[in-house]
Amino acid sequence: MVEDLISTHRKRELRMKAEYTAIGGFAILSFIAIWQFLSSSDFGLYYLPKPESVAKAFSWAIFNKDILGYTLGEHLHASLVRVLYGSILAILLAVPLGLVIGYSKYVEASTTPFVEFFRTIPPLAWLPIAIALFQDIWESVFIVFLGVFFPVLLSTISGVKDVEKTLIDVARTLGAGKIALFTKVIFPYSVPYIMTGIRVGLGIGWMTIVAAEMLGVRGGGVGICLWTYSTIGRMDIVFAYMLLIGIVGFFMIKTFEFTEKRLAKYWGFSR
Amino acid sequence: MSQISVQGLSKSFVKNSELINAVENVNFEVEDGEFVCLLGPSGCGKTTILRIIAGLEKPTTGKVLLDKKEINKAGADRGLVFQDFALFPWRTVSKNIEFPLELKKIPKKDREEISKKYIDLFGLEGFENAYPSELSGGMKQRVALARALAAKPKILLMDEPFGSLDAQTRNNMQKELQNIWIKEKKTVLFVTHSVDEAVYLADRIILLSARPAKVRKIYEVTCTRPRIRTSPECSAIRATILSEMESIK
Repeated sequence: MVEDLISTHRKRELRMKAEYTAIGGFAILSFIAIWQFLSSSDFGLYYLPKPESVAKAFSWAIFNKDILGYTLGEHLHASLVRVLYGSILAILLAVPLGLVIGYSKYVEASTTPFVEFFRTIPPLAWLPIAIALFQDIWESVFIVFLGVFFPVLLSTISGVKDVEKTLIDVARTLGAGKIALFTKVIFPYSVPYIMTGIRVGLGIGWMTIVAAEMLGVRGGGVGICLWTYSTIGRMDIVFAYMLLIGIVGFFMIKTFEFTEKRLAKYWGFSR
Repeated sequence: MSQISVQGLSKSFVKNSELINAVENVNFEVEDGEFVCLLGPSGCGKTTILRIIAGLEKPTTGKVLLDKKEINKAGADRGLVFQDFALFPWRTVSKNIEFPLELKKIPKKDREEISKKYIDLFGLEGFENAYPSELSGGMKQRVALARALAAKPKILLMDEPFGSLDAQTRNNMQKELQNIWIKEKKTVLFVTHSVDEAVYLADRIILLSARPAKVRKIYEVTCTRPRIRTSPECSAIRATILSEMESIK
């Protein structure tokens, strides 16, 4: 009897999940159908390529070197490397700085004016300075760095400030000194916060890299592709790269959301 | 020889620009191996006394001596057990118990051995690798107790440790604590507002007045251990204390 109830309940849950997926799939198909209709020659949106020509452009870009001399994979690789460098540098700097700012009133007081001011400047507004200061890929790495740095810094600070006081108290009565408090209580407590900062930062970083690369970089990149092909009117390839940027961004965020949730659960936070 | 000596302890603080006297001229001693309960109405300042002894707060006047030395900061010689457990949520049961051992730089192998000992003592077998979020309230408090004992404190300070547990679990935990205390003979200073709990556990009960906390009366509980809650001796002392407590308000 009970087993019956459980199995009906499970079946219902499965059916609901299937329905949800089916509706989503249907919405995607409808989207492509509408796209197909809008891009048909009768409609007259001359710049809108057909879905199948975008698909063709996509597979062409994967297997052939384009006018910039790279395949799609190489462009993507170049962009991802820049995002990776920028993010790693940002995390390496923002996490320790955030821990210290969150911990020390003096450091907080002396850094807050700068943090509050500089975080309001969009990363892309730094492009002229980036170009003046850096060369090669480091221009766009710097832009990504700025995009990732502030979200990670701010969430690290709030992690340190949120540490439950009783955890600090109990650690002290168990014999923890200042350094142990930092490494064994404050830092671990902040890890889920830091992860949230990294996820948000990566999203921003991925958005800024595209724009940063449009201004020209050596060695390829998805942003430079968008720019180059739109100037010569190859909208099918532009769309193919937009598709790629969307897919990569989607998977990047989803992977991080997944890790973040797992970690939050493992850390005992049900956030 | 008295292990803890509280001398002329007072604590005042300012809250919303009002001066609050939490503790006023409190004096008492705790002997080596003794189980003492600080009993008083809620919010009377008994937790403040405990936190001062733990070294987490400074007294306004007076001092606390541990083995004749004045206390001025928190340390592993005084273990504190909180009402809300204060387990590290990112550490498993055994890693929580190993926390004070890591601080003492005890090698990994010995740490595991010691934590195993406490896991057995508190009946936590099978939960070594569970996270606090997966445990019931009673289990969490067992882990917190095990962790406090693993630090090998000279004295165990307990701040209404069973206050957030349901009545059944609470009774079981009191029984377990008594058994462990009989085995380990650790000095315990236990804060509670429950007369039942105090009579069941303590050798001596220090009854505090309402805020500001002052020592009102001290009772010796001479019932034999392990105690039976409903025994005539226990009931008698409970009745005495209850009637005294009624006159506090």
